[in-house]
Amino acid sequence: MTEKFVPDAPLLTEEEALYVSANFRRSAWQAFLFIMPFLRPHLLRLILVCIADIAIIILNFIPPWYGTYLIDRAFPQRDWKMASTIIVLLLATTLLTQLLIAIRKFVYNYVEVRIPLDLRARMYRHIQRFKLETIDATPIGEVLFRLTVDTDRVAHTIYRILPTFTMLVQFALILGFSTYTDPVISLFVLLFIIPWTILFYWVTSISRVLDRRRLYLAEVRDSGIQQTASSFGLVKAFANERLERHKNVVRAGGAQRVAVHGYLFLVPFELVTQRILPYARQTTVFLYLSWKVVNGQMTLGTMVPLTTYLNRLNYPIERMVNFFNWVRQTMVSVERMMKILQTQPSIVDKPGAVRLTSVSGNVEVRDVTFQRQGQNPALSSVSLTLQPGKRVAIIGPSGAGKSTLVNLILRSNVPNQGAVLIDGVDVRDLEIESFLRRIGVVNQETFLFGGTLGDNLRFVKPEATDEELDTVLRSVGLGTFLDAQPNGLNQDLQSGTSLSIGQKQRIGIARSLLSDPRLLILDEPTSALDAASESEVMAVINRLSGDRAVLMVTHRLDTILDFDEIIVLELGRVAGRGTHSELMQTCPLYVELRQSYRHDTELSA
Amino acid sequence: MPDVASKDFRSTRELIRVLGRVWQYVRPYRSKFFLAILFVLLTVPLTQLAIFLTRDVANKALLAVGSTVDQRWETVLGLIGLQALFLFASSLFWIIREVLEWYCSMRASYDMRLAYFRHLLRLPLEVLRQRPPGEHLYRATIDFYSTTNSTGYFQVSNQDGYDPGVAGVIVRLVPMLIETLYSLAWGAALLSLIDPVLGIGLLVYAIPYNIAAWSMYSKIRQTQFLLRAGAESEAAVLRDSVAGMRTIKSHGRTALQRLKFITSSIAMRRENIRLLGQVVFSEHVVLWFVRWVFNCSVYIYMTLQVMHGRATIGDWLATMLLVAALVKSDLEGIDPDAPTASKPMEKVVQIIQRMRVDLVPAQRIMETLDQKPQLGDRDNPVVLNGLQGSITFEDVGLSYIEGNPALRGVSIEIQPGEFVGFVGPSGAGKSSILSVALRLYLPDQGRVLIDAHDLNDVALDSYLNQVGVVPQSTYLYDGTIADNIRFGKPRATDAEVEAVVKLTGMEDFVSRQPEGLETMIGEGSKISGGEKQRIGIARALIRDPKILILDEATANLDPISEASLSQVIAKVRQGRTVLCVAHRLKTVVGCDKIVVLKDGLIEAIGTHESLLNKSTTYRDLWIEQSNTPISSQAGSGVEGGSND
Repeated sequence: MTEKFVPDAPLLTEEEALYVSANFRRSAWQAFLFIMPFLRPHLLRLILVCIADIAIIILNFIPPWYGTYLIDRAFPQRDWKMASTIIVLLLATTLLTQLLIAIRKFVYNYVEVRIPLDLRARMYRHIQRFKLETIDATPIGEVLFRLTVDTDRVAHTIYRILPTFTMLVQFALILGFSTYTDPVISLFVLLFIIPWTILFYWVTSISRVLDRRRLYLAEVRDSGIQQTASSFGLVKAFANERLERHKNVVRAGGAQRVAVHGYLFLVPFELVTQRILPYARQTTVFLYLSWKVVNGQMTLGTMVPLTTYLNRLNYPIERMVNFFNWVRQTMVSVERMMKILQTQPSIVDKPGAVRLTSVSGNVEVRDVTFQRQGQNPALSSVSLTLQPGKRVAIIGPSGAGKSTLVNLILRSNVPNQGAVLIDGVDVRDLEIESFLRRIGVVNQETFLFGGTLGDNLRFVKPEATDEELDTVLRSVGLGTFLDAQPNGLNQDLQSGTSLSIGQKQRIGIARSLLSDPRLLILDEPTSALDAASESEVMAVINRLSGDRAVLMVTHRLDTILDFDEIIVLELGRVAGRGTHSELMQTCPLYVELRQSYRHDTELSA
Repeated sequence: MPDVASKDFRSTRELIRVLGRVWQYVRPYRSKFFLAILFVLLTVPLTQLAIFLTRDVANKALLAVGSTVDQRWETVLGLIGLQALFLFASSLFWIIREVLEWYCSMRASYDMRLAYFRHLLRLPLEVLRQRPPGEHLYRATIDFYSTTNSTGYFQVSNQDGYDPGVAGVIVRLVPMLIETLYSLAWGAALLSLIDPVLGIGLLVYAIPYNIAAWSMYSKIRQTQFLLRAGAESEAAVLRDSVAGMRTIKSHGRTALQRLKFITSSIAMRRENIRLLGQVVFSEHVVLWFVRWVFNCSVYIYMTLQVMHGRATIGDWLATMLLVAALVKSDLEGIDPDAPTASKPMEKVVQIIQRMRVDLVPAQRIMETLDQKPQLGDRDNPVVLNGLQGSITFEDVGLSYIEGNPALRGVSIEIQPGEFVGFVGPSGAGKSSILSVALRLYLPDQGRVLIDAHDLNDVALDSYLNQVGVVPQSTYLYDGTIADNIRFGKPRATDAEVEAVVKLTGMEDFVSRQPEGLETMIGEGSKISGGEKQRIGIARALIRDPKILILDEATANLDPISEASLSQVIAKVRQGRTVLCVAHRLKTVVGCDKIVVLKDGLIEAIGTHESLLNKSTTYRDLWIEQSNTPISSQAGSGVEGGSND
């Protein structure tokens, strides 16, 4: 596994940022429409949380008021009754508040847990419906990024909408209260908060630009490490350790320098926004209130809750500014996720589709033509038949339509004309997975899942016994491999990182043979192998084809000399068909392909 | 991926050992580190004294009935002035401390980074190959990030923070712990000034609270580990689902895979909710209750004291403010990540728990740094200048795994300028011979002589700089085509690069690129296997090697590219010793000497013709690779016919 690990959600790229600013309203609306369905199932919870939040805010206002009564009345007048009432009330209020907070936390965090999982499940469902050709064209790292980082980021913003909103309510209430008590206080407060907000927002914007550069350089540094880690042998063989070390110092140093500059740039603003301005505001208001108390215009009791409230002002604004930034990032994530959700899904089963319980291996491709919109036909009038015991090869230069033909049989696409019949049933009428489960498919490269050798085989036949797995592995010549595994079938294969391509390919063949299919489709099974492994794998395939129907796409012409039928495709048309010796007489393209294939042997001989 | 989830420190001794190792990197910056702690010691009393002054503001000015308005106002001005002074001074100290700590931690982590990378390249190849590249990447990058980010960094860039790096586990957490304990001590002292009962009460309260917190957080942390393990397994299912989509779909197993995903997802949800239940229960039920009892007791006690006339209103006010600064208030806001959430009393346990978590990556880093590096050159090594190119293997034996030798006593003599092929079935020891010739591995027995010098006595760099290696598949570094070629000789001039491009027949390919030699390429770029191998050969040739080593250099290529690369090799072999390992015999048919290896032993040495008679392995391979006799004869017969 070498994909780039993303430590923090990376910030927007320059283009993305520009795009979002330019289409802000549309993007925001789109993001809103996208998010709504995920909130709907939690509507009741959200309403509950909203009510609880408002109640908590109001309850939070009460305890400082008890101070007023104590200081102004109970203490000077030695009013025991009032003092004891206040204590009882205080106990009750705090108890009630805490109860609400606990309930609210639990309910809301449930939403917090659910939303990213729901988003991910939705994306997952769609990605599973991708067509085979879309899958091949999609970078894996990017899709995974959408599924993980983007969903998390969107969820993160969604569940911060509500707290931010309640913060806003709290802010308004405090400001309203202070204005009601004395408008001058609000004036003082605004005098400090407005420049604070502007400064904070401004510095945040600048620091975002700095962050982008910093993260970019950190990425360069890390990708340098990745490159070295992927080529240790090369570095050592070239005695390039010093060069690599030097490159690393340069890269790490560059990233570090930018980090230091950015940090030092932020220091004075941090000092001002985090400490100086809030302290200055606090002192000014305190001084003003004291002046009023000294002059008898206000009691000390009134002053106490006021200062408490005003201290709660800072955080809401910080939150709102940050929230705005989150929203911007979220909109990009939504865009990206939408792009994936808009990809056209593959063909869906018809209602009442035929569920196959067995496949005998009779396949008829009847005169199919396939053409993507606005392109030349990828296949025109191609026919072929397969029956048990018959081996058919499809060859041709790249772009001839070999894979397209296989994709039609697997119903990744449906032909514009003609039909593909499986045991006499049109593939369009099949429940496609019931068909695919009963045939064997070997791809150009075998993908191994994380997990044990057994898991990887049982993937196609979950109910297979250990004996079955053992037999099938030995039949593809992996007997010694299996014996060499310390844990046998339970050996963790680590996604195949330590296996050779030949071993992987043989595991792929074993996997396809596990359910003893009558039909085998091999899509360039040996193209990734070297000569020695190729002949070993081909020997396995030839030995095991027996009474199965075999269809093999290949460009290794030496491997198919004794096939029953070879179909030569060129630009979507059949340029020739027959056995090897027939084609050598009748098909000039075949002769040409063979010559270029043998060319090098003659050269070196 | 390293097993992040399940690791934890069981033994305190190991914890202290890792801390000690990290300290070695912090040590050079210790003056700044101690200065930062000094500023912590200054900041804490200032902020608490500022709060404490409120008592005098209330008692001596606001409630002083005896004095005139002007006198009272003067007192207010004086006290608030003093308070402001304390606050601003503490702000200044705070920022200085932040900068010192950040700088110190960042520098120490940076030094660790460089040391790590340096050490990594010094490790023997067999050690390096024990871990897949992905894990190397993880250990060399993610492990160096600090996880302490959320505990009070700069607010402005709190999106991802200015990471102080892994050294933060000491530089950041130790002052924080000192600050916390010191605040509690000052708090207790100031409260004692108001009423000794309060000071003692605070210290007494610390005991049950911290015991409860410790047990609660330990449980939560266990759930968190489980959760991380769950997240990793969910990520693995996702990775499999996306990367293996073609396999899943073509086997008709989408439903099964979705079931796996949903299962892991539901498991995650269950764990998450469990964690949530634990957090809410411990934070908002148990710990809250202990806190609530304390907070209410203080409130009631002080109110009664004032009512009895044993304390002033100023005392009451200052107590409330001080306690609120030391212990989490019950009147906490709604926001889950409000910065005011934790106060010194709550932090003690949190910091220690955090330290244990943060030391896990540090432990992994140290694990690598403690691995024994490859043996370097011996003292006064022989510097090889003007290599001739003769190589002699004398009874060389090598085993990667004990008791399973890859080479068992191989002796070959190679003259300068010879073209030597190595063939044999997989596992015969072909690549091991090359590894020994490059001193990537040291032989267990025998020796390798280069121009009559024992390879172990040679200054390795001086030798390798005259050797060119072309592996089976060329790794492309991110950079321009020229950069990639210059990997072989970093100081090569443009003319040299162009010459080697011409030599390897890459001109067409280069001229087709939008920016010629300056076109950016990398592992992700779409370059055919043939062109990649040409870059690999150019990289080897630019150092004008006396010895050229081809390790299956053409094995992965299609026949046409293979043929044209063979031509390039034929052209450049003049005046160089060439060692060529190949699976396909046709690659080595023209060699001066072919070495047939089997099970780590030499079966035969000779030319193609002589080997066909001498070596059964060679003959078998030859027959196997010229296809099944019957059909290939039929095929070539017809071919011959059509060619005529």
